[in-house]
Amino acid sequence: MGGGRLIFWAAVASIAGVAVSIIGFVVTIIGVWRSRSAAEQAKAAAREARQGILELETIQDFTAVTTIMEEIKRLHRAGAWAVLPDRYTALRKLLGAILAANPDAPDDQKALLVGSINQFRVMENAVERALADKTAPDVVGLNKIVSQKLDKLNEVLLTFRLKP
Amino acid sequence: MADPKFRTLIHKLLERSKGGKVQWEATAVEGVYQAAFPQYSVKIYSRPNPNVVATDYILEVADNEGQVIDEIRDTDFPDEYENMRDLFNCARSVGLGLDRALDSILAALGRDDPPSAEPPEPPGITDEDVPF
Repeated sequence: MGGGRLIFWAAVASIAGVAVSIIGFVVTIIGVWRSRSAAEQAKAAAREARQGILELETIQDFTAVTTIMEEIKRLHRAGAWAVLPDRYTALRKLLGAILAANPDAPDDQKALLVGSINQFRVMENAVERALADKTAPDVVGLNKIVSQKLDKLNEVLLTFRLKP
Repeated sequence: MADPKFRTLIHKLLERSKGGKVQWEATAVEGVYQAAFPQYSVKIYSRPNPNVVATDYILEVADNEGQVIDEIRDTDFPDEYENMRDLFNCARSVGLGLDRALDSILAALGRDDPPSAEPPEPPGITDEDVPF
């Protein structure tokens, strides 16, 4: 009789052991799943934060671009040709940084940035040549191009500002 | 030896430009026109050839920093002279806004005057209109 009871309790203990093992396994799985989910959430949050910082930097760069372009127009009017090549270079660098930071931007926006970079390189070369030849560049023509680009870049800046 | 792909580029640019699908624009240098794409840009300009009484046409490809990567002249593909000339003229027309100006003027000239609408005659007074 005592032996039968012992076998019974041994079976109970064995079943309980299996149950505890299964529960432990499930708890471990849930824990792993939760930690993975938390890690993924943290990764997604970091990605979003990085994207947010990039967009903020893009807006700051765009603002700097518009400021420099306005300055370039004033310098054209003042005929300050000697200081202009540096401003064109600074402007091209900023436009290049915006282009590099936004590889997923729509094609028309990327084309606008590429076109603007090229325009200011041509402008820089034209002013350098005029400086070397001691001739005066066409202020009206140059400012017309700057204004056209400024208007289009402001439209793109607006789309960045309106991004949710 | 110019890359044969340039020939395809000339044809495609000309075809798309004629269809109004390439946004050419004037640059700071008179007579130089550029069209920008998402990664690269192209420039076209003409230059008098000092050796013969003719004009040379030059097409440049620049990277996204405005650095010229390569260029071709019409002399690289003599059989493409007319296409390069047409491409230059097309770029000039779009870049200077001549294309849009002509379209607008032609549309205005072609608009027919609306037929003069005669005012409807007032309805005649009949005996039925007299209230007494």
